[in-house]
Amino acid sequence: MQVLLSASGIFKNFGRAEVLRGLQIEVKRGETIGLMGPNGAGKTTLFNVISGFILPDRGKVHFLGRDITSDPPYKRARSGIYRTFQRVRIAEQMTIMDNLLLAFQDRAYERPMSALCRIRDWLALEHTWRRRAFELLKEMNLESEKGRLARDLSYGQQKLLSLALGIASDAKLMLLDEPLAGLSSSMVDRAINLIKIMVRKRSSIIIIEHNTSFLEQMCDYVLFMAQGQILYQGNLQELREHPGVLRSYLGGQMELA
Amino acid sequence: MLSQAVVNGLIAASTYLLVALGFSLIYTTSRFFHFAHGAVITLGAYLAYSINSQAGVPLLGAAVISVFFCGLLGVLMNHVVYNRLLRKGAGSLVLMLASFGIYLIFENVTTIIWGASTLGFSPGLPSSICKWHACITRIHILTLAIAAVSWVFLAILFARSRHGLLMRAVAESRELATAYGIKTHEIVDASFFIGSAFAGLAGILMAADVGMTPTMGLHALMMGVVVAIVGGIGSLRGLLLASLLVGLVRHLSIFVVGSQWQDSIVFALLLVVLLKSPWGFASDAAAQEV
Repeated sequence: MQVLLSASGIFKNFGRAEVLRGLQIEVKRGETIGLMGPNGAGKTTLFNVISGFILPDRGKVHFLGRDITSDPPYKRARSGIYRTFQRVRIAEQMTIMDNLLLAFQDRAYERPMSALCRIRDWLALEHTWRRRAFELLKEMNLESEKGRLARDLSYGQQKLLSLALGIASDAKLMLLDEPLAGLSSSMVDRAINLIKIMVRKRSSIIIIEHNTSFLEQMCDYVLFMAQGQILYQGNLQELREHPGVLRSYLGGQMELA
Repeated sequence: MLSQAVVNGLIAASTYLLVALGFSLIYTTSRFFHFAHGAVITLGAYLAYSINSQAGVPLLGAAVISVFFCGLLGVLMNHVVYNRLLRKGAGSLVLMLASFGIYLIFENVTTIIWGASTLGFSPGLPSSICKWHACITRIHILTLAIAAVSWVFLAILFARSRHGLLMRAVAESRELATAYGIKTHEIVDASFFIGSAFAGLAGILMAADVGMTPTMGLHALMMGVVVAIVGGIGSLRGLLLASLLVGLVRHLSIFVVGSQWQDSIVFALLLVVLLKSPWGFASDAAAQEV
């Protein structure tokens, strides 16, 4: 399988705290990977480094064979990296439909002139987008509320929307930061459905999540991170018996159910 | 007398609206008080004047060229000053101060080049149409029409175009827009271009009506800013309402107080509106428009 993303020798310090220490990761096309680890292991920092919101002190990030280490976030998003945040970030002042339309990626019509010059193509494309957006709204059970402002949605609905935005973006790599945290059980099912759509679309996915049964069901394998490094890579069964993993959870509140 | 005051109010409202549209367009995407907007208004008028009377280009052509240059000037200010300050981590207060500095420099340079006395386009006073005790010139009609067209243009841009959608996203949060893969710097540049072109247009129209002075931009900017705040920055409908209110109140107030009080009345109005609702006319529903 083709390597989609590789990061090697990633170091990142915040002041004196060493958050990432020579981290190494490789993601192949179509893989779904669970990312686990105690709080402060550097999971979200890793997402920030991959999506460009933080530049590493040392190390290289390659995406689709290209060095993107110093690319700004918008360039990475354009090349096909989508991420969600622990605290949902969507355009709250805009409608649900506008949020989805924003996520679709066709850069040919960004400038008003180019849209005007090929107005027919543009309108046809927008029509397709609206249809696809409607399909996604149905997945979220929000098809009758596309005109609502995103900030009026419940927390769970906003989280679903942030997943749907990833699907709309057709990103090749999805970075999902605790997509199920804080969701009610019915919402969890909907979120899982959305993530399954990503899997069917052959997107590569990295999911930060503590819910192990979910990871077991969804992921090809899991990575276990502690103290800024990947300690373990493999399936969950073996992870439970891994001595280093057990040690890093000693005294921690998370249990490996 | 009353009908003339109403007409004057409407004309004033049109120029305020143009200034306010440009100002709030720039404000929503870049989030700081672009004081130098006032300099662009003035320069629009003087550039058109020079291109017309010194280079001999017909007035309409001169106006088009000048408006285009005003747009470029806005983008240039953004690149040469604001972007550099932002990269160095400057906050919105520093940007406002820098912008104020740009304004003062431009005002002084304008005075040095063109002098402090009032200049006007030739031919001087255009013919006017009078009815119901009120007179309106062709420039007045043109001003009204251009303001209306500009408003509709922006309304369509925001509601219907991909570019408008991207602008709204940048207006909401630059960081979020980056995460969506939007080239925020291009969007900000575009808003500087369109906003500054509007400012130049307003300057030319005002100068065609009453002539130009190096300080004309400051007063126009103040009125435009009042409109932008009363209307609720970002709400097109609010801006339209506020421009009419400010224009009419300013010109109808002469029936109550002397003309030297006109601006005080406008700012009193601003305070009253803000005390009642700090967001201006923009209701929650309207705030989403930009």
